[in-house]
Amino acid sequence: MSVSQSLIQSQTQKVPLLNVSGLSVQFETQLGRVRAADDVSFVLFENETLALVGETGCGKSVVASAVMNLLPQNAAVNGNIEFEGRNLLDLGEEEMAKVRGAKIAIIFQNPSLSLNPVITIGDQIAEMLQVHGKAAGRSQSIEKAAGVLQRLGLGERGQLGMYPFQFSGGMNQRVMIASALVLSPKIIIADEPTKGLDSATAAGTVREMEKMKDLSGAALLLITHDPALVQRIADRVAVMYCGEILEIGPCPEVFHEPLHPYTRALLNCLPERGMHPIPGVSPSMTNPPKGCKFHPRCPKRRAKCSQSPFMKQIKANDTETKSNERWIKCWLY
Amino acid sequence: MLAVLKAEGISMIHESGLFHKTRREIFRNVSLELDGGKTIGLMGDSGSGKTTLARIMAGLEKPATGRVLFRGKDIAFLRGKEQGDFQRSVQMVFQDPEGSLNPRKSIGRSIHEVLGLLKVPKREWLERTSDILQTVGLSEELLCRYPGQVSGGQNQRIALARVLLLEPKVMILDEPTSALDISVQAQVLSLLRELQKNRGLGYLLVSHQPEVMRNMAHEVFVLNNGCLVQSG
Ligand SMILES: Nc1ncnc2c1ncn2[C@@H]1O[C@H](COP(=O)(O)OP(=O)(O)OP(=O)(O)O)[C@@H](O)[C@H]1O
Ligand SMILES: Nc1ncnc2c1ncn2[C@@H]1O[C@H](COP(=O)(O)OP(=O)(O)OP(=O)(O)O)[C@@H](O)[C@H]1O
Ligand SMILES: [Mg+2]
Ligand SMILES: [Mg+2]
Repeated sequence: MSVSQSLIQSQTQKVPLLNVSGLSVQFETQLGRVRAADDVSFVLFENETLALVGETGCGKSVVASAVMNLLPQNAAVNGNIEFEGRNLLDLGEEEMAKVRGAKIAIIFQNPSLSLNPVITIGDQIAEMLQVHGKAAGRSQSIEKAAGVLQRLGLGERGQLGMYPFQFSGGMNQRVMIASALVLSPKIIIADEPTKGLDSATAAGTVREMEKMKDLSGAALLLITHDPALVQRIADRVAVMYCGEILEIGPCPEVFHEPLHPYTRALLNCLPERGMHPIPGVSPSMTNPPKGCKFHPRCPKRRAKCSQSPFMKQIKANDTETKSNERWIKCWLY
Repeated sequence: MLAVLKAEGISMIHESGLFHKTRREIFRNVSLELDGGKTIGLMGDSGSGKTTLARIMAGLEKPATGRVLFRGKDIAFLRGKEQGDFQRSVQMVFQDPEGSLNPRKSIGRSIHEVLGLLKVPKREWLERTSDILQTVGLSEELLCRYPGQVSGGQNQRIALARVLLLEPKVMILDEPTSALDISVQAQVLSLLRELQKNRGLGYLLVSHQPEVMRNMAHEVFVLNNGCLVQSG
């Protein structure tokens, strides 16, 4: 039985929406092949929020782009991304265009690259509604757009007619969020949605995202560097390191009792846990360490760690916690 | 002593709309001094005008009223050597790093460009480049890539590396760690503190994170309803 199959079976009460299995992404560059995602597998269930965390450059955005089928030409992609009975990686551009935005929406990490600089804020969102046939005419779509923007704190009437360059960083960030939510997609991928927002605005924005998500029963794949945000809104968390998922499990359990040595090291960087940096340097992605990629920095390494570990389900009686939903890629278990 | 950089009673108004021009005052009568060895923190809600104020102090935008002085001279009237001096001494790291790097130039080229500008002899380029990458914790593997081909946090550190090469006196940092995870953020902040100690750099630091402010800033100011007030 494959990892993803048993992953599904272990939680039969939940409905899987998106099933990523054995995803690998490699980029060809002049200085070698970058292994940005390596055998990544996870399931996203209806209604849930799954957080994807890990240090910068570990491959989080690459996974998001792979799901959207938006990776650049120099990428070699393998594996399966199953959604509504089809492998998204097999879909042509035309089919994929119908999925993007309407069924799976993404809030990109970088607003300036994804907002159209010559279209007003109101029209950016209204246009999405019209392209996907979700509003009768221009005035209705503008009306709808205004409604969503208002809920995200951009309510002033005059703001609809402004251009992205006339908005602040945080305001554009919220425009991106509005455009992802407006079509009520089944899956929302949010790449650092609160980056650069002050805490009050961030909290308000997240509340609105959650509300709209609950309303439509959508699932949220949340990519973030903010552990407080993860703890507050994520149901499960997946921890990524150098292109691989090393641990995945229910959020409270992972924070309370991290099992993988990397997860422990990562949590020790938190201000409230003493801000202990992880010793050693981030590994190269073109020439990653053999075996477990974390082993050169791992305090618990042993001889076996120079061989690649595989994803393993942890039984409830192995830990303090009670669920059977924890998965670890480490020879310790 | 003259402050390295000083804003005197500046205010800013933005106009928008094609037919019905609306004028909005972003802030008024703001004064602020930046000096070597000191970090001034700037906070405020989203849209309160922090980036606008930072850009004005970096000479990238003109204020509606008031002036910005570089070693006592109005930057609007700097010419020749003095202007060059200002442009080198005062550097800004942008909130949106991807937007500030040229997407059509490889990372290596955009770093070499700065070295060329500084008239560093070509034979030293390789060494200087690898030094600065190491300083910001990046691998040389990135040199052949373009800004679209590296991660958000990597872009932010590349932007920082380019600015550090110029050896500025004052740095204006707009959310310099917002795309970084906690471990790399701690690394970058301690680098900035070290540079401040060794080279006497002055910073204007815009950040939303109270922990960052507590760690870095000697004084914190808040933009609120168009006014700048000192906090704490
Ligand atoms: N087009 C590309 N060509 C070559 N390498 C790439 C390309 N795009 C991304 N990479 C590399 O792949 C790795 C993963 O990048 P990704 O953007 O997914 O990181 P991330 O986890 O989102 O990091 P951050 O938190 O900084 O945004 C990085 O090391 C990056 O340099
Ligand atoms: N070119 C412009 N034309 C019109 N209005 C503008 C222009 N640039 C900025 N503004 C307005 O000025 C205000 C302040 O913007 P600024 O980018 O300085 O905010 P900020 O404090 O940096 O916010 P954030 O924390 O979200 O980055 C915003 O309301 C914005 O809409
Ligand atoms: Mg990213
Ligand atoms: Mg700003």
